[in-house]
Amino acid sequence: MKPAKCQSEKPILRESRLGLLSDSTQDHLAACDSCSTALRVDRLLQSDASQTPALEQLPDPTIVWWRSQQQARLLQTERATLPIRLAERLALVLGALGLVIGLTLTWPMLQATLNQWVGGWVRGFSQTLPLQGSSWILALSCSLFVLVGFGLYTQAADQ
Amino acid sequence: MLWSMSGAGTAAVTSNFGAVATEPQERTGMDEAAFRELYQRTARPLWGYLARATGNDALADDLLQETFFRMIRAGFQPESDDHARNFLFKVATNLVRDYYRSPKRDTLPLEHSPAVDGPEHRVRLRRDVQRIFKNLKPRERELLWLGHVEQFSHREIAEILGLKPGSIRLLLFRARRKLAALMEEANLGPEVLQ
Repeated sequence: MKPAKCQSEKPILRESRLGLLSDSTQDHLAACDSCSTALRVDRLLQSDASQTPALEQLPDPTIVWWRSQQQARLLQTERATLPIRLAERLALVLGALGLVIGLTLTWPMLQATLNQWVGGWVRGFSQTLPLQGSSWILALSCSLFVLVGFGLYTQAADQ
Repeated sequence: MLWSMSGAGTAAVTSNFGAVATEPQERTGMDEAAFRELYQRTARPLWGYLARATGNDALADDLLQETFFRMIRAGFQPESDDHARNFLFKVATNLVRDYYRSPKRDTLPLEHSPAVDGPEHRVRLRRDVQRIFKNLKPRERELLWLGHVEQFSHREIAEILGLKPGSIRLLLFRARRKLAALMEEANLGPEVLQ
């Protein structure tokens, strides 16, 4: 569909918005499909635009200004604390990694110590469990240790 | 919570905030008085555009505020009224686009927008227009509003909508045809619009 070009369209819309449609314009509108369509659409849109609420019914500029200032401050704070937050996360990751490496390296020694330490009352469990009792105890202790450490860390970081 | 504050409460909040708000203000280079002036000149047409583009008056309120937040955050300094208008409409258009792209977007139908006050025929007209607008694509609504109501030039419309200036004439022509056909279907003739 190619747009039909009519040079009169703009002047007619201007005339219509001023509320003046001369006889010659009316004659042109009766003959020109493009202009009459443009005029009908323009009138509908202008009519709808006139129902836009008054400024007083729109959000209060004082509050918009205040909130924008608050947002700007929040962004500044976030930007300023970004290195700290990154360092905290890095420390957490490195800590967890260190714990895993440490446990892996000291595993035989830990296993032997735990076997001696809790050997007596673990024996009962180990008969019913597929893994060695000391392995379960060790896994549970490590999980608890990591959880408590993480909890303490997040609390301290929040403060 | 903030939005329900009375005028007095708002003033108190503003004056309290004044002391701590200096930094962002200095960064943007626009003070509250300049902002208020710009807001008074541009908020109403901008709201009209957002309300028609989204078909949701409450959402238009939110997007209007977000448009101004972004302007302040960007440190925008208007060189002229046209410059400010173009910038704000462009930001508003991007926000509308983000809204339509968002998977969590509110799918409130146009008819469910807040009630329109005024004479009965006006209310009916607004409802008819809303129903008709629902059948247009967001870009068609934007094009028609920018071209007919805001009377932006084709070059400006292209800039605001991120389109090629050469394509605006054809797109506007098609959108106009489509709207005219929908008006005919809804029996919205010139006599209704008087």
